[in-house]
Amino acid sequence: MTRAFLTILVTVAALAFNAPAMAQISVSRTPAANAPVLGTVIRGGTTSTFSVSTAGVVTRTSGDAIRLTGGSVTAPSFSVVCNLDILCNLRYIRITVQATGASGPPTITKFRVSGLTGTTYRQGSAPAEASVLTFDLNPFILPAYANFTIGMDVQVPAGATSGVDTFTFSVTATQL
Amino acid sequence: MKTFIPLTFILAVFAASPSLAQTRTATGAIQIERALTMTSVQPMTFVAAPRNLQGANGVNGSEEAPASAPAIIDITGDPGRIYRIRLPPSIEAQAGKGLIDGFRVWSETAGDVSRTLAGRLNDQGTDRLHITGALTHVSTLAFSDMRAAVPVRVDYE
Repeated sequence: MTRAFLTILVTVAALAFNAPAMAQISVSRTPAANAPVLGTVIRGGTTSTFSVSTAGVVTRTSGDAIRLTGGSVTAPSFSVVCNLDILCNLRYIRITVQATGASGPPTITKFRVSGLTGTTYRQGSAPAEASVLTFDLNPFILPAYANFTIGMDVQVPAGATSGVDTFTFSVTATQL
Repeated sequence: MKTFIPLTFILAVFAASPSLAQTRTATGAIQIERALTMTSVQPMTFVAAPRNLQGANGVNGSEEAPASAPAIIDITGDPGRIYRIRLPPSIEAQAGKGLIDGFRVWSETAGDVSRTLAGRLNDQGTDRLHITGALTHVSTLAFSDMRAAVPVRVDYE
C-alpha cells in the first residue's frame, strides 16, 4: 500500500515539475481577423479619441475628427483555455492587456474588459479602465476556460497622416 | 495524519511549479483621411445677348446659350487621391425660366473629365474644376445676365 502510494506521489510530483512542457494554457481571440476595425475617419484639427465599448459601440469622446463609417464594430473577444492541467484548478490566472505598437499615428490609450464567463474576477468585479489592464481570475474549476471581451480607446492625433493604420495589443494569461 | 502530509506535499509541489503564460496579439485598424473640401471660386455666368434682352426667342420658343464664364471650384484633400464628381443632369435657372444642362468639366490636374467625372488631386492635394454648361431659355420672358451656382458633390473614389 505504501509502495503504491509512493509511486503515485512520485508520478504526480514528476508531472508537476514537468508542467511547463505539458502546459495546456492557451489564449485565442475572436474574430481571427483584425478587430476592432473603425473604418474611415476624417482627421481632425485637434487630437480626437474614439471609444470602443465592449459591445462594439464607437463614440467620439474628444476632439473633432469625424468617423464616416457608421455603426458598431466587432469588439475582440478572448478565450483562455486550460486543458489537462491541474494547475489551473489551483492557481489564479493573471490577465494583462497592453498596447504593443502601431503602424501610424493612431494609438490605443485605454483598455476595458467585460463579459467574463467561465470563472470570476479574483477582486470580485471587473477592473477599472487602464492603459495597461491587469486583472486576476479565480482558478478554473469547470469548465476550464474563461472568455471576456476587450474594449479600448483609440486616439487619433491632430492632422494625422492619411492612410490605413493598424494598432496592436496583446493579451497575456499567466498562472500565478 | 499519515495521508495529510503527502497531500500537503503534493500541493506544495504544484504550488512551487514554474508559472505558465501565453500571449496572444491582436490588431485593430483605422483609415485616416484628409477631408475632401470644395470652395466655390466663381459661379457659372451667362451674359444675355442683345436679342435676349429684347425677349426674342428662337425656334420652338427656346434658345440655347453657352456659359460666358465657367463655374470654378477648388478641391482639397489627400494628395494623389482620385475623386468622383457628381453633377445633376440639369439645373433650373432663374426660377424656372431657364434650364442649364450639357455640363462640361475640366480638371486642372486631369484635363477634360466630362465623361469620366473622376478627378485626381495633385501632389499638394488640390485641384481646380472648371464647369461650363448651356442655358436653355424656355420662357417667353427675356433673361438678363445670370449667375448659377452648380450643385457639385465630390467623394473619394
